[in-house]
Amino acid sequence: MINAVEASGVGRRYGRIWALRGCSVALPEGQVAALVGPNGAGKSTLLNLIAGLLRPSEGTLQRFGRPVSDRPEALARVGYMSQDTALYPTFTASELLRMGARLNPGWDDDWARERLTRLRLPANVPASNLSGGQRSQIALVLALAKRPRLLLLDEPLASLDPLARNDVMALLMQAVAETGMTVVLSSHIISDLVETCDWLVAINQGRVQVSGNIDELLDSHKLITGPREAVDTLPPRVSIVAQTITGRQASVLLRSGEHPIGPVWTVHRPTLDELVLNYLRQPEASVLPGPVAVAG
Amino acid sequence: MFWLTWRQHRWQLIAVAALVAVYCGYLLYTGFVVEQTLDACPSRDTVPRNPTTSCINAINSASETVNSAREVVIFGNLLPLAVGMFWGAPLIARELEQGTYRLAFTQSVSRRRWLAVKLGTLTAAAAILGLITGVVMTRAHSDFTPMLYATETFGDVRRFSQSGIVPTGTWTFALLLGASLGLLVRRSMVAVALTLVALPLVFVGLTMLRPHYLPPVERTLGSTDMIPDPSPVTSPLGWLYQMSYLDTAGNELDSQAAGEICADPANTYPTVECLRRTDLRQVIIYQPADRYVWFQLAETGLLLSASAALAVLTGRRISRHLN
Repeated sequence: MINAVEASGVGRRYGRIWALRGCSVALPEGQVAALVGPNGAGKSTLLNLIAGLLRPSEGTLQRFGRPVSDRPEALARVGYMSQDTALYPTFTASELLRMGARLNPGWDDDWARERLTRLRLPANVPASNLSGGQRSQIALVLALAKRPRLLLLDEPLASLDPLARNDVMALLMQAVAETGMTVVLSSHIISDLVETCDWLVAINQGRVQVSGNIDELLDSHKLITGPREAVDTLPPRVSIVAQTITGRQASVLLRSGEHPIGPVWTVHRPTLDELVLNYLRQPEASVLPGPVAVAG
Repeated sequence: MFWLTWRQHRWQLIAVAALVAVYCGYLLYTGFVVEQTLDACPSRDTVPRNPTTSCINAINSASETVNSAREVVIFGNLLPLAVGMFWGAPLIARELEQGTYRLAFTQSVSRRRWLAVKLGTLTAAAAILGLITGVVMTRAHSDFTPMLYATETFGDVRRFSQSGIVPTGTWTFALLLGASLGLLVRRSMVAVALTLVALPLVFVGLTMLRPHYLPPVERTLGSTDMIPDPSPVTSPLGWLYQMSYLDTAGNELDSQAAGEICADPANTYPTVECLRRTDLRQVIIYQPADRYVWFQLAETGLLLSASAALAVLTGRRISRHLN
């Protein structure tokens, strides 16, 4: 299967500061990937690099097996929607769709107009007079109506109230179900992503920490809780990702293995939240699990 | 792309077009008034040999109209500033500032084409408006100059850059300078301010460079062909850089020193009679009137070449080095 996104050793520097470094990720086509990480971790930088809005300072980045470029055919395959949903403030929704129709050969105008009506978005009000939720929905309709094979969403849910968040996600998931496109969605609210995503990329301090299929990641990890003294008695061959000690309790995230760990521990499958938080808490100690080896 | 360009820049386009309309309207109106006034004379091209009193009055009144209009003409030189500030400076800077470049550059249009259409359309509009001002200025204000106590365009700092084809170059350059500054500083207001400072500097620089486009001609004239002293800088003769006199020993004298040699109580400056009497010769350094076209071409060419260079640099930066 062809990879929708393939980065090897990608880095991006602003002056002397590296916003992203040594980033190697392969995202198979058809996945809905969550890009998580704390603020300033490099999520936006990575999405902007994939969208072609930034150039990597080092490394190579491909979309569908071809280097990122601004040729019209390459641009037509990618949809992008940004954090602050920058729309031309004086344009109405109707004008924005008109712009989309004129600039994109694959534009699905009927679909876009129908969405606008169904979402009850006012067609003739300038974008600057709309609510944040409405702007996000219009931006998403714009990104979707060009029928991209790869959709990049940079914090699409930030600054939205729960109702709007729900609407945006519903719009997105319906489009994904209709077309089977690949999506990369960044967010720092992990609970937003649990039900919708099947791939996880965690970035921390400018480096990729985790990349893989969410089910496989969860299956390959164990979260164990027990008395704090028991941590020292864990067999040395167990691979510990991170541990948290609260009072007398210790909770340890392990990579699964067949090593017996003793009866004092309660073992359960971690939630996505627990998995991500444990990794992000240990930026230096952790390694990349799962199928991250970049093909080719 | 064309629709987008129009949609994003329509008010700026309309505003500048309206300014041009008002300015050209004013020029045409004063031209019309002058023409009406000159109806009192038998011809509009030359002063009649024995003009009637009403013709003399008409010439005086028309000269006054033209000369007062030319006080206003100074402001015509500010029109390209409007293009640089309102069309050029925000063209790229505003997209970067508002973050909308991320919307524009993720549509299925390459950056090169995006820029080419935007700059192309606005350049065409600027060039057309410039051409209109140039033609109106030339038609309405230069045709009857020989009749009037008014200056020729050639060598006139106020009007040379607004006449003929030069405005086409000036306006195009103003747009591209604004656009490139916008890309460089990434802030609309800063770009507007920089354009407002940089363009007048460029225009002043051009004014200073203008006399050097071609080496001037030096001519020695005797009493039979001397030109009146004092002579205006711009006249049907051409653009006069310098006038001096040579005495019989070959020493160069300025008008005042030559006037002292003449010792004519009626005239401070040398006259034909004086040259005949004293064997003084007049030396003029000037650009002959027929070189006007070459000066127009040179200045337009200079401005258009600079514009093309700016367009190439902007295109490179936007497609390769942006962010």
